[in-house]
Amino acid sequence: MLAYHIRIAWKSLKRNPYLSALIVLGIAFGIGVSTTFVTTHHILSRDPIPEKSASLHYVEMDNWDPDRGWSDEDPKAAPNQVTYRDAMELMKSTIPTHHSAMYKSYLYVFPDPKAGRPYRARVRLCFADFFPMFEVPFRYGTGWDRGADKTPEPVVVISNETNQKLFGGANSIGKPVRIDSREFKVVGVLDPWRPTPKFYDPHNGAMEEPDEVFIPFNFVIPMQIRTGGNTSSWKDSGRTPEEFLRSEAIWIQMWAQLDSPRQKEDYRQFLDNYVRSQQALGRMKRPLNNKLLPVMEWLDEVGAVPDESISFVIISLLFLLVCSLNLIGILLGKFLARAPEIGVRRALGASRMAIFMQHIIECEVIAVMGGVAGILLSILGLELVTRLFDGLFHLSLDWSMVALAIGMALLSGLIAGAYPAWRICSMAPAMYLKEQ
Amino acid sequence: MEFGPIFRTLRRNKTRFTLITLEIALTLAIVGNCVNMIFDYRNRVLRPTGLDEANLLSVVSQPFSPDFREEGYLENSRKADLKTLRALPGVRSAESISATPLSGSGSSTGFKPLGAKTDTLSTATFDCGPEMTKVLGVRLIEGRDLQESDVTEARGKNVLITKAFADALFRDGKAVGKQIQSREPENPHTIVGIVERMHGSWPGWEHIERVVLLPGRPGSVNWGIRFMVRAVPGHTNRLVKTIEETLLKTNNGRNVEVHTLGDIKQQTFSSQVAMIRMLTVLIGLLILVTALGIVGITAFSVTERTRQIGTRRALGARKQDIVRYFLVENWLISTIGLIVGTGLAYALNYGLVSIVEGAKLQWHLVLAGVIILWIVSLVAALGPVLRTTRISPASATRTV
Repeated sequence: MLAYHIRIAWKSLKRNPYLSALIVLGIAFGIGVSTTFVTTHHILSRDPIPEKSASLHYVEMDNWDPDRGWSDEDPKAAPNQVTYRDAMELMKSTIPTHHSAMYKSYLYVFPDPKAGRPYRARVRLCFADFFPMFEVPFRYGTGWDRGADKTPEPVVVISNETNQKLFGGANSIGKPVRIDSREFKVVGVLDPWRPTPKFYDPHNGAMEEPDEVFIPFNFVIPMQIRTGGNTSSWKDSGRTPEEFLRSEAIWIQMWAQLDSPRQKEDYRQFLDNYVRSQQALGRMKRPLNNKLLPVMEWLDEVGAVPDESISFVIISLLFLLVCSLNLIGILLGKFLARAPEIGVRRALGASRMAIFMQHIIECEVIAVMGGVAGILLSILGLELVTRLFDGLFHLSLDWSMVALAIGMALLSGLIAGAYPAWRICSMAPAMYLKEQ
Repeated sequence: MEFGPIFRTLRRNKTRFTLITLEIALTLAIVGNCVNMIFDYRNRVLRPTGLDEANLLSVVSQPFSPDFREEGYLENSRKADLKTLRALPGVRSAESISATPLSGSGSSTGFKPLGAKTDTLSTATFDCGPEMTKVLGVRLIEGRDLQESDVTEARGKNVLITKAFADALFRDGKAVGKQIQSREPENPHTIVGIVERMHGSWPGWEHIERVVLLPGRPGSVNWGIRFMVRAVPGHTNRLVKTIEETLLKTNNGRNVEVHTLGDIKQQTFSSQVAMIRMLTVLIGLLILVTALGIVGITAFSVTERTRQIGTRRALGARKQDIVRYFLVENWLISTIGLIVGTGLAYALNYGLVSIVEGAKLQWHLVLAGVIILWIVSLVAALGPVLRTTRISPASATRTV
């Protein structure tokens, strides 16, 4: 029966190809636009590391001004980074499966003089655990081991793009690279890796360019590397590098992987004890306000998803509604125009249900065609949005979005078709037979 | 006018007319809000910054040679570059600064009147040479400008602040000669002059107009030495290449990056510009879809009434009477739709503003939307309606 209805629907569409094309195009626009913006929102708000996001925790503690909290709007908020001295104390814990203090800087990288001028690269200073903790994919080699953190050893992990730039994409493990004033040895080359949003350090934009070079955190002192990210302070943070490191300025991101509730509880205890010990020394005079934020809660706190993204979703769904209304009007006209034909079919014994089903299926055939065309349009749309934002983020459809698009198409076909189909099946056949 | 018959027709075809009314109403609601968002973004982009935007360039000298770590080398390089820049043909003035305005990066500090018990107020701060106001083209409205003698070893004591910040700090608006402090009362600053308007580093920030200029000799090995250069009008773009080449010729132990302030601003506002383009495409598509809908429904109602039209023609109605009848009908429907749509537009705006940040809907934009949709609806209906002129009176007698 279904095949029969679909065949009839196809015949009906072919009878008036221009009108049919117009109808399909109308629904395709609606699906195309809404799929584009729903996908954009989906990508901007998705979990960047789904398999581990519940166990990775961003650490916050309140070292702020006793007289005035971190945020004037939210008294419960804690400062969004930690100080150097606190980060170093937290790194002494053995509780987390993995943990790393980290920050971003910009340092000169010196390629082979034949390959080009020195250039400033986005450098991340972090601990060995950074790579296993965030499941960073390697093309060649691996991260450095924990032993290299202490001294620190001059080892470097470079991004795929940096490897292209410096070594033409060849396996560069063991090759030297001059960074700032020192020579480092390449131990790892990443596969293309761009977590979006850049959850581990979204302070300079959740869509910031990926890091290019990774070196052990402890070069912070011997190389006097200042942060290239945000620094906030409520107190004078000193003039010399040593004074700055001892100050209350916050500029370091602290992450810990805590796999079990037990581990999390222990780590929380450890944090609380540490802050209490600092309070005893006269620091951190605000009430205890330590936070262990899983990835999604952390992204929510920083507001990684732009508000506009939601506005566009709302607007694009209303757009789809307009397209559906449009469809109702056109289908109503199209169906009622064939009332005499339906009158004959009814008189020959077709049930109301059969007529209703026939028309609903015709609508769904239109909707599926519109949906497929809409998906093609949304591929264009996503390309356009990506270009408009200058490749700030890369957007593409995934299967869940394709399924959603088809679902939306079927639903709008049903909504748009139900009334016209009901109208046509509920009319009395006699009137139309007479007119013939 | 045949309002009577039209109303009766509308009543008999409730569904169809409700549909088209709703469609027009929703279209207006969406178009009105999209246009409102466009204007909101545009206003942010076009807001006067106080700076001579068209003629300014940002120059960054980013040292990599170890020489720059030697005592005094960096400062000598800064002075030499300033001299070179000022001597270049096409350059009006040049001065060094700690961060580029409108670029999205810079420093901020909190200040309050010396001794005040209140909380400090945040402001953007720029360390800069004494010529800065002349380079940026900002206007001094009170007090005096910075001068060479204000540049001291300690962080600048005498400072300039913008009027917006002066008004925030001092209720009576008299700020010249007053002292301000950050959290601690040590090392207060004295306000020597007021700048009429200048935008700081972060265009998205609500207090973008709060700026403090501190006299100094900005520059560091890590973050380089920055300059603002004001070009003679018409020379800005040419200078980009010239400056880079000239400065590298004097010292090759560094990279030199030159950008026009226009490019920097465009970069900072790139999402807003992208949003404006997206909204424009959306509005275009939506109007297209709605117009197609109106074409479809009007065509259908014309076909449906072929016999009625034939009868009217046979009874003496002229072609233009028929055309007028259908146009008035269309106008009536779209007007009802637009009235409903105005309400919907405000409702949607209320919804959007309560979920996400956004601007209140401006009535004149709704009015503009109404006028545009009136025209669109008329033009869309015109095609099918003109087809009625081809219906002959004889068709009344034929069976359809």
